[in-house]
Amino acid sequence: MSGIYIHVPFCKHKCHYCTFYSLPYIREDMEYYISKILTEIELHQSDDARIESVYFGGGTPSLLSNEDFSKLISKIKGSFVVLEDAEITIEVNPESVTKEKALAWRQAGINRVSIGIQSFMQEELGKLGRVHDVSDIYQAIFDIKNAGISNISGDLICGLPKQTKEDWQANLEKIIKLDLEHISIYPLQIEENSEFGRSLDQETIDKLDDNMIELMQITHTYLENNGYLHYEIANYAKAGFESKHNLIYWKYKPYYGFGPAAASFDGKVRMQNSSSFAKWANGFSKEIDLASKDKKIQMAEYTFLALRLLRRGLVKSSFESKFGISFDSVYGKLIEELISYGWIIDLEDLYILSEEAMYFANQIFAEFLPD
Amino acid sequence: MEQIRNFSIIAHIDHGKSTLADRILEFTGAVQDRDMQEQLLDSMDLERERGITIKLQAVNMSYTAKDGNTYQLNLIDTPGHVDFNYEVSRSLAACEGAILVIDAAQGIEAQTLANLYLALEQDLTIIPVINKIDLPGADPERIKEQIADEIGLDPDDAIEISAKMGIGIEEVVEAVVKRVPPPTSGLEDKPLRALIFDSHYDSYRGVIAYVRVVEGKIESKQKIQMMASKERLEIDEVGVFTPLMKIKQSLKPGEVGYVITGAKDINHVRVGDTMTYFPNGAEKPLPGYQKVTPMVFCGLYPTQGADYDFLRDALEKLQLNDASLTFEPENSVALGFGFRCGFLGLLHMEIIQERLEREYELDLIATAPGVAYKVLMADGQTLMIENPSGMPEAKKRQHIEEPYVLATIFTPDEYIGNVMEIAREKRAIYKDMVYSNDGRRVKLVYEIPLAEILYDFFDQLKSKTRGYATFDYEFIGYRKSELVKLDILVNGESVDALSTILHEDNAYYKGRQLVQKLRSLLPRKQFSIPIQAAIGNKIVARETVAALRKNVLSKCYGGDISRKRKLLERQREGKKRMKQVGNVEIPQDAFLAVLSLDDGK
Repeated sequence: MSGIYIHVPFCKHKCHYCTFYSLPYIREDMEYYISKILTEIELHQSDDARIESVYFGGGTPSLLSNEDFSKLISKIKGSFVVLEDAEITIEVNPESVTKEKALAWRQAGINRVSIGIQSFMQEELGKLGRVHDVSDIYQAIFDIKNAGISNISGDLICGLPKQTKEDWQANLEKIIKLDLEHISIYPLQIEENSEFGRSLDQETIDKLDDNMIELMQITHTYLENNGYLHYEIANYAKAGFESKHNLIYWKYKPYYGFGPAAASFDGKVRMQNSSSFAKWANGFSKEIDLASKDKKIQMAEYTFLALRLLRRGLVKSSFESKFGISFDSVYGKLIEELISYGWIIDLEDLYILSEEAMYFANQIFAEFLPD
Repeated sequence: MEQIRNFSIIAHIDHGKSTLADRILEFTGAVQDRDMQEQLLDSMDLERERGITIKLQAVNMSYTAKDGNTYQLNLIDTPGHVDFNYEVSRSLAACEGAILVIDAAQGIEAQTLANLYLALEQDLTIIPVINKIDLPGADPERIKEQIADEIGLDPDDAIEISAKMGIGIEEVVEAVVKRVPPPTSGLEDKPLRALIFDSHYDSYRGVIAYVRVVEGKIESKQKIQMMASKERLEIDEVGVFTPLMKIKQSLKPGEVGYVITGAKDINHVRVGDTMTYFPNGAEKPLPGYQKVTPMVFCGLYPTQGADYDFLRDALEKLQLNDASLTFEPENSVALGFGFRCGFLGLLHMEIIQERLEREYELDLIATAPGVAYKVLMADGQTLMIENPSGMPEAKKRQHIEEPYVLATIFTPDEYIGNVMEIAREKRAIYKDMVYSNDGRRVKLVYEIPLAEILYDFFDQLKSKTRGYATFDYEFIGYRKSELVKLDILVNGESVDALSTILHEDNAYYKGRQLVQKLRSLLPRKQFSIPIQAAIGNKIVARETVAALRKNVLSKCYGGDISRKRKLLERQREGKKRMKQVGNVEIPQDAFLAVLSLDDGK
């Protein structure tokens, strides 16, 4: 089983927190991009690869025309074995959704939409540099549902400058009312090379840090009480609506990445397409992450990805069948220490993160990496 | 010699000893009324503020009795609190008689008895005095019954007085002259033997020794030797306290006074040592004092590290006339260099701390008090452990014993329930309950581990009886207890200074309390820190000081994994560096808050 990720690198506008690879949208570039990516998909043609998920991410994949979508999806179906019940997701911004587009996506075979809500407060949207307004959110979701797409995920960004607990609580209440199948919560990361990183001073950033954990705890309690399972560190879903695509990443399964800057994993080695549009287009050059060939690194990645799944956790027997060595013989001492700190819970055949440890999981994950 | 009377006054706190002493000084004319500072013998500010006597003093008075003879009366003061038992035995060794002061309303109390026994051991003549007969609650007849029943003295010998009103003072002084025997005579020609029963340090004159001459004679310019320290000195000055220092030609057998030798080093003139001639000294020293062992321990640290040497000097000077104070160097990661000090009891500890702060102007940090544990090791040897960090591992020991005290609590009857509740919480073993004749006051007797009364016992007792209960205790010995050592681990490393020894039933609660308190006090770092309480290898409580958001969750999808891993690798590098630098630094105020942790706060 594997997945396919298609990176659509164009945006009409760059958001203030974004560090993903993106280019300004020009229709001619888009056409060139489509012709190239069709070639790239064809190059990886395989009768053995059984695809359970296709994900159109970006950038802004909703900039693709109906015709672009049809071409892409039929190329994928012609090159791989796409399972009947495969999850086919498109990532969208609220302002780019129209009734017509939603219908076209549905007709092209898209059965899941991930919508970047980010906030229900106009002021917060302004700060984030989003171009949509609050009414766009409601209109977009109405259109998507009306088009017959019944699996919708919404993203919210938490911990904005000056955001109070009450502000955040109000955001949570609004997203609950939309009755979506899936919710992703991202703490605002102030990246150095984002607009935010350049405009905020260290003192302001430190203040933001102070209440982040509290906001995350509020989120955990509130969403769980409202029927959403906290199944992964940043993700909540109604039962049965966990993102198949993201589960591929966390379960250490292989996936194809097409388009500039897209990453792929063959089950052993990670690689990434060149993030230069020109280099990608002129021969699909990619960079291999050499460290990912190291078994110690592989075991560490496997472990921290598995621990991100809060309910499933790290299944000892799966680890052993994957690496041919028992988990405890590799990490026994470390795990014992983490258990004594109350950060890991031992459920006999599996280990999971404790609730408190969810909020500083990176520190724990770092412990698994080789010295 | 026939005209010398050496005596002291024994009393419970508040029973009026100092007032009686003042009246005697007034009556004999040693002090004029107008010069009288209330309670003159209590010369330390601290003593007057607290209404207690800590340091003993000696005063020389001249009194012409009804028989027409003029007597030299030496009043040697004694502290009233049981903590200062040791001092009492010292001053009693210099006397032939003692006035036993009993409150006409409250009767004989535990501490009075303890001191009385010391006096009886030394064969002193006891003059029972019933004080405060002017008060409405006074019941001298009942007290007389107590005198007969509880201490076996003739109740007809008791003198009824009111020191405050000046009633019966002459009778007391006359009784001292008539009943207290003079010191043994005919010893002036023997080699000198003088007992140093106290001393203090004067910045200009050096060590001033308080002595009682038993045999021989002390004169100025004489060469003498200390029999224990072997130190040889020349006498600069001898004299008596009247109560001011008054120079005399010599001190003869039976006389009490002071000796100045110019000695600057307090170790040369030790309390309890015997002074003799050099050469041609006495063969045997006088019996010293029974050495008392400290019961309560705490760490004392100067807030300014530079004051360490000054603190040691101050402790040495205090130890000069308080051999019951012990100290040895100790250091702590958080508090720096200081001393582990041993005291006779809680009051003694407070007094020493206050004296260091007031008289030596030291700014001190005191850690929570603890007791000394007796540990029977698997190999059969016995260890005394004063510092929890020195407790051997569980597998190396057979059992631990802890000191117990007999606690006597007086309370109005409506608070019996509250007192019993406190006692239960403090692992107290009920022994006795006695109602007063009018049924309104109750005496409760318990055996309690000393460690349990060191924390908030007194505060709780006061608050739950609206301040009406009184409380006394005396040491009754070591007993086996189910004790455990509770360690605190910060970031996986044990913090020595935070280890405690406690009853296993309290370990979980206390462990939880400690880690919660620490969590609230430790600053948040770039990485999360586990705080654990452990008994041996078993974790009994734990908390986490959560990190700043640098470590907070974030999204992690396909394209991110390599990048994510690299971020984690960088983070790991950073953490490794931190481990190299050392353990998590615990700020001093966090340490103090934990070390002074009170229940219920």
